[in-house]
Amino acid sequence: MSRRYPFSLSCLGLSQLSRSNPLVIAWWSAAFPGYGHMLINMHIKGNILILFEVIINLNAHLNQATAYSFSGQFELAKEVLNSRWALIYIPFYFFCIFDSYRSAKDINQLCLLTEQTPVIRPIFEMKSYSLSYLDKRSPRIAMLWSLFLPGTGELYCQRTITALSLMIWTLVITYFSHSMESLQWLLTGNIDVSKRVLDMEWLLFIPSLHFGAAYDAYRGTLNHNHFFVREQKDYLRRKWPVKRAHPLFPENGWNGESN
Amino acid sequence: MIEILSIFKHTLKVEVILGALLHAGIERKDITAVSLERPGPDAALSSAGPSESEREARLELPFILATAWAVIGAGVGYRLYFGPVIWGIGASIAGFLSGYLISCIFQFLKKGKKIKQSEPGVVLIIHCREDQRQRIEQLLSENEVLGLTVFQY
Repeated sequence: MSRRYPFSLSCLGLSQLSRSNPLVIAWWSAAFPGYGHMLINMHIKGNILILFEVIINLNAHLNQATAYSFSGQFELAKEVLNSRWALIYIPFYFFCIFDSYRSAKDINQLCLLTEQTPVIRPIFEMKSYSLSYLDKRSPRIAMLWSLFLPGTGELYCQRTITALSLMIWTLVITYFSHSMESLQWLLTGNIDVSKRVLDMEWLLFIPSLHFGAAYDAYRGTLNHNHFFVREQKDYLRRKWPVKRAHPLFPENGWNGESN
Repeated sequence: MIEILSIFKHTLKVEVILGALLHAGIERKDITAVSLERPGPDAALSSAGPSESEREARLELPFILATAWAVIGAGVGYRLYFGPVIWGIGASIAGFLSGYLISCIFQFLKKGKKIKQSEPGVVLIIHCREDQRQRIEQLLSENEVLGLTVFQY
């Protein structure tokens, strides 16, 4: 087997090397520490970071302070921030951005190294406990699913580990932010109550959670399709070469029996 | 003898057809499958992954701005009439649309109007007898063929 290969599929999901703009990866790390790593397929590292992000952010009341700052209540913002936690957040936050940026640059190099190697990798795995295969899927549908329920789009494009953790976080964050309850009050016209039930500390996780997941699912499905096509091309070239002295390919000559 | 030339997208169907043709009695040496490459300077890049493709690049900025605006919108909206949920959703939609607009403008300025390229597909050429023609044509058309033509010589 070659020293480096562009993708790997198993029942636990699909991982692949893909080019990215390191700045975009760094942005997602800044929006939700751990997401940058998730986008470049470092699922375990990303999930450890997501766990730490939620724990530290929650205890430092960072999101609450953000909400107060944006609404101009700076005194309240200072008061609510817990400095015992907030100061730990600073090195953690910058490590996430630094590390995802650096890794994204390395992965771009790995892409260059593997792009010429023919893809001879398993694209189908069936075990007694699960089935997993490559085919063509729609990036838009993946995006929409993840926009509504983060994790479902990832399930659709076989980013299974990330899908599991995103769905757990979505449940936790949606429950504690009271966002659905607030929406219910809003639809029945009780704007004041709908504002009061919300927990801003949890609510401010939601934009990055949903949009990050939607972007990840979209990108993941594009890559999923890319490797399906690339593997099929290499398969056709390998197993169905031009054999006869074909009028369209006269220079190839006859080598039909050798395959 | 005739040649049936047909074109497909890269899907699982291509391999289904290859199997079905063998099953229908066409010999392996009579089937040619060639996948097309995109011509021009983009060809090298396209093999490196779709991440560089315009399709994705056009959605990078919209998602970034949607997230940023939603956080700001929810924060600001906390003190406004409709509350953080409505303001957050509204701001994220505005952010997404503005991001999409900006990246469209950037792409237009960078490359000018570009011809929309569809994904290159697979060409299947089947060498067979005249009496097999109808069966093969039917098989191909049942399996998402994009177009086919028959040469006689």
